[in-house]
Amino acid sequence: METLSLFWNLVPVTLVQGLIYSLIALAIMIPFRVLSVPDLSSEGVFPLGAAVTTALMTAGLHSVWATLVAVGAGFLAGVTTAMIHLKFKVHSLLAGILTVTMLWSINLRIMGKPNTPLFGFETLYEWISPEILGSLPLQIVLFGIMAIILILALWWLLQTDVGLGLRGIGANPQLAPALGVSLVAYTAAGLGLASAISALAGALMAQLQGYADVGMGIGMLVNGLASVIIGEAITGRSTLLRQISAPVVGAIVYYQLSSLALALGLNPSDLKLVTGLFVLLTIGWPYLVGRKVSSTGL
Amino acid sequence: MSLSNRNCPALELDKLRVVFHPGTPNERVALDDLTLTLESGDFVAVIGSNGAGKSTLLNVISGAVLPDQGRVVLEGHDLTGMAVHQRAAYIGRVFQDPMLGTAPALSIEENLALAAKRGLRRGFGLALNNANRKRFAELLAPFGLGLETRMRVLAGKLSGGQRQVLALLMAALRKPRLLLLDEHTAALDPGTADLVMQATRRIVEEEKLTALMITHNMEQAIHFGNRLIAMNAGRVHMDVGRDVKKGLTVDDLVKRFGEAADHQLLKA
Repeated sequence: METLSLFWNLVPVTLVQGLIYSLIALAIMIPFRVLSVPDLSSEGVFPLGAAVTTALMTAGLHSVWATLVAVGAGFLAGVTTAMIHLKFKVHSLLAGILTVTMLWSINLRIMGKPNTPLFGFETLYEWISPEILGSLPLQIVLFGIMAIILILALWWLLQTDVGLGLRGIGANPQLAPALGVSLVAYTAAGLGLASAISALAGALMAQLQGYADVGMGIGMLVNGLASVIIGEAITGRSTLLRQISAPVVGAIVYYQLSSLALALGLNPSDLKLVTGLFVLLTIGWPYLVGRKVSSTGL
Repeated sequence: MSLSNRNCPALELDKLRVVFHPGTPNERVALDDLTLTLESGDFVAVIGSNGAGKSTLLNVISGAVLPDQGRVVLEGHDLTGMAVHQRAAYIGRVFQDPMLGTAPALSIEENLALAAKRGLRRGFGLALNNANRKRFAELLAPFGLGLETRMRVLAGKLSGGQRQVLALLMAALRKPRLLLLDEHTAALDPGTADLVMQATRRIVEEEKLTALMITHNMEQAIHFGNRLIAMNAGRVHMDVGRDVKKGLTVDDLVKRFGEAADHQLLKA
């Protein structure tokens, strides 16, 4: 019972964590499901967002601007991955790995050191209301609203002509150019959008925890994948809204599950192994039971 | 760029040359200085054996393959260096594989909305509204497939024939200066192929399109269009107009085409 009450006490904190990390899950879903160009550069873009934000804030820039510049930097990182993929004909996953690798050095350059504290600087949260940082319920409301706005914005975007173009290159990359959709421009915009969302998560997390760390992205990718898989199992993918909600629902559930596992005595250092095995099992399940597998697996 | 030079031929292909794997033992001349002119309103059927260069011809016109030499000129404007998505403003294309002509993960109405913006700026307005939904349904209705009542069904759920009709409508939704049909009935059963050909004729005639249709089906080549071209070894070997075409039978065609092919063999 004691372990369960430990878990129970952590539910609000874990919910805040899950809501912020749901952005990373969204950033993984967009390339996979919308563009059919799998990209996992979140691992490097998330700390990029944190690094840019803290570097600019400690240099005296207002937190709003610092956050916006971080989002822009994330967009550029996504465009870089897209260009490596399209221009050098490198598989998108490998292009993402190259971006992540290069970003490690860039993030260190931006911050000048592996860890930058933000104490004494007015964060986005303090700017909105001085009470947010001390109140978990307020944080839950804030990040909850943010997640809902983001879901609705993406839902709307993907139903516009531009959004239909994005889904078009994902659904049929041979047809889309024949209908006037530029593969290069739309892939770059789509990956840019996804990475911008990852960078936003990094900027928000750095300001919430009060520091940026060059290693804060490690493991984000597999957590995000697990979130997408769990979310899709819950919401399904039958409509656009369900597909877009899945990563957010999945991230909330995933972080509660891992919190529960830790409360039950799982060694924190074993968490990545367990998550990895979970992802593997979900992907491999249809093969293990010998069911016919659709060609659009994760 | 607007194409408005009506005095120029609809399409001029000027000494197009495409060589695959140059300088290797696999070197193959796919198009051998091919020259061809289409007048506005021409509906040209192209036949030829495998490897004659038919598909390469369409790919060079659409921009999917860039020629080593020669020019593609549409209504007086040189398209030779333009990318596929840029040429798409002027060219509509239906692929052989029904899977390729539509986006399977998008609904029928979303496919049409995607095609409705071919060659236009895409913005951030909603792609579908009541007005264009109604218009799309009205355009689908005459084909008699009942698709107009299933607008929200995913294109991937349609049969091959239904998809090709949808692909055809998508290619012609914004009137193209040139319609490319790449054996678009080859993957269909004879009954469905016939239905798709009737739909093709309807669209080409009603919209007065200039069209280039590759086909393996000699009967189709004789019955449809006002001009018939036979290709062999990357060249045009036979080019006959409506009057000659009318009197042709499949046997004649095989014989004449066979002679052309033999002639080429002897020359080589």
